[in-house]
Amino acid sequence: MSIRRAFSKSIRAYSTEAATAGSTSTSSSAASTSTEAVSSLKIRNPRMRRAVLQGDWIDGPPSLRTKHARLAYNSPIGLKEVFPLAYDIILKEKARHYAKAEEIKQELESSDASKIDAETRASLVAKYNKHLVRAELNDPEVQYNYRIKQLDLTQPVYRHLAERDWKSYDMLITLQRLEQLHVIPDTLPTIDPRADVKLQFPTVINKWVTPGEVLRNAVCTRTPIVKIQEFQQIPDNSLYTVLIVDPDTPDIANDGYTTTLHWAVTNIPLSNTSPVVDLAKSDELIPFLPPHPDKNGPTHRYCLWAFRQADPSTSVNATSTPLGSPTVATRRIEIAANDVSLARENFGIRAFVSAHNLDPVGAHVWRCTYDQSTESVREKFGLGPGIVFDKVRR
Amino acid sequence: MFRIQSSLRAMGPTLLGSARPSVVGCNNANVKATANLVLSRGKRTKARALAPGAQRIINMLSVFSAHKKQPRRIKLAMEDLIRHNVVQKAWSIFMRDKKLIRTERLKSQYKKIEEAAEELKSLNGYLHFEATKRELGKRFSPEMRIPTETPPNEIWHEDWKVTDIYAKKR
Repeated sequence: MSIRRAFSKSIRAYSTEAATAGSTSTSSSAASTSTEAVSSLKIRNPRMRRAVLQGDWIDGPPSLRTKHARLAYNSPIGLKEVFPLAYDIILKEKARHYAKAEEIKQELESSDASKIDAETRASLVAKYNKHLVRAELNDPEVQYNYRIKQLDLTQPVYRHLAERDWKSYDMLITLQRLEQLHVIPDTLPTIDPRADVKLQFPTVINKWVTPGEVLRNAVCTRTPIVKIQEFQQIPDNSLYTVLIVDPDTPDIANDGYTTTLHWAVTNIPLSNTSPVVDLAKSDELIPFLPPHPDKNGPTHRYCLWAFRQADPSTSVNATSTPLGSPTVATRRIEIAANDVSLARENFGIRAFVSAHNLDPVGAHVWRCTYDQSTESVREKFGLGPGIVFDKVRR
Repeated sequence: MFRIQSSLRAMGPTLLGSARPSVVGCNNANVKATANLVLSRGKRTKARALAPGAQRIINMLSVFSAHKKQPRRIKLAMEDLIRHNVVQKAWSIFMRDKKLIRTERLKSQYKKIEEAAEELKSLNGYLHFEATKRELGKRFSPEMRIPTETPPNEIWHEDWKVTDIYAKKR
């Protein structure tokens, strides 16, 4: 209790001191003007907004569902008194970060900005983005929107939070599975993951496939729904390519395995806010071939690779792009569906990637083996009877 | 705890008390007559109580377990949790600023001391040497104390005297 009292006292002293000193009290109106236009940084529900910012509610916190729970709830003692003081400090800190960002912006847009070399510029841009994130990160309204997963990914702070979440779990799982199942280096040498790639088969169970999962053949007959979420700011309608390959196709003649191309889509327009692959707007070069492993054969890996169609010509002069705009540029690639490099059998993914200068940003993998549904899948899609392997080669 | 109990129960009736039906409200001499008729959910009955030896083992194991070592999670509504985090963050910002001011002040003080010493050096080398000389065994005297909130039990060394340990050298 005494600690709390001391805290509120010292904070009160601090805020008055800061207000009189004037050094730390940069105009908080500047912060409010810069965020006022962005409604996604505010809590939409007015009742909730009042609850979070004022701790003001009728019978209890609105996040509690039942009336019984609301009535039984007691807020911690003193929180209501301390919060306005703490919020003041947060707002001042926010204003400070926005002021710093503004300083950097002016430095980069001033007349002698041309003298700044690319490296310094890059570090300044990184600093600028960091200040934009830090300014909003501790805001209670942003924290609330993050908790209810209302993330407007056009905002740097929400992109930062989404990326943090992804890097803490999903990215690690994906990388582990890619390494453990030797997708790296069996398909491509390595990966620098920058996008969250998710995969779903539209069936009865509509859920995102965990990387490395073994799926039933009947589940993956239809064209998958693919989501490629970039956390870096990308321009609207940036172009992407998706390939699905199976590096475990038996090659009996050479006593080994070959890679089969199962799906190839190019020129997929994506943005930060619309990450789902839309086939109507993109070029489907090779339609989706459902997995159909041979009987007694090995479990096949179906590796999905997502590529940014990076534009080397524009990414070089990205140093001159204005602040706050994306530095990533993509270009359209034209491949004829009957291109020799696009043959389903003996597909050379490395050659394809280097030929079209694709930048792998994310990957996914699932597995299939011969099961009860394989024969029906083969029959449905006219894929032939398939090989039956035996212990002894005949 | 439940797992330990069930494993002990599997060991046989030697460790556990004799198996009795665990019906609350049965006429048991050990249960008070007033509580007898009340059927309450989750109430412990004598029938489930362990033999003293088994209970001792469980006590020892639960002391070793990590279960109770961490404090109980504070149950807060989402709104209050966010508000609590804001207060925590504000406190750390406040402390950071406070520390920053202090370090800045100390830095400037040190700079001033250095400047004064340099000036003294330029004016009179002898005085500078004497002022900045390091003397063997000469430290802060015990009388020079930093004010503290937790003073020692013995506040003042009444019978303290300077021990001239360098007398022989001189």
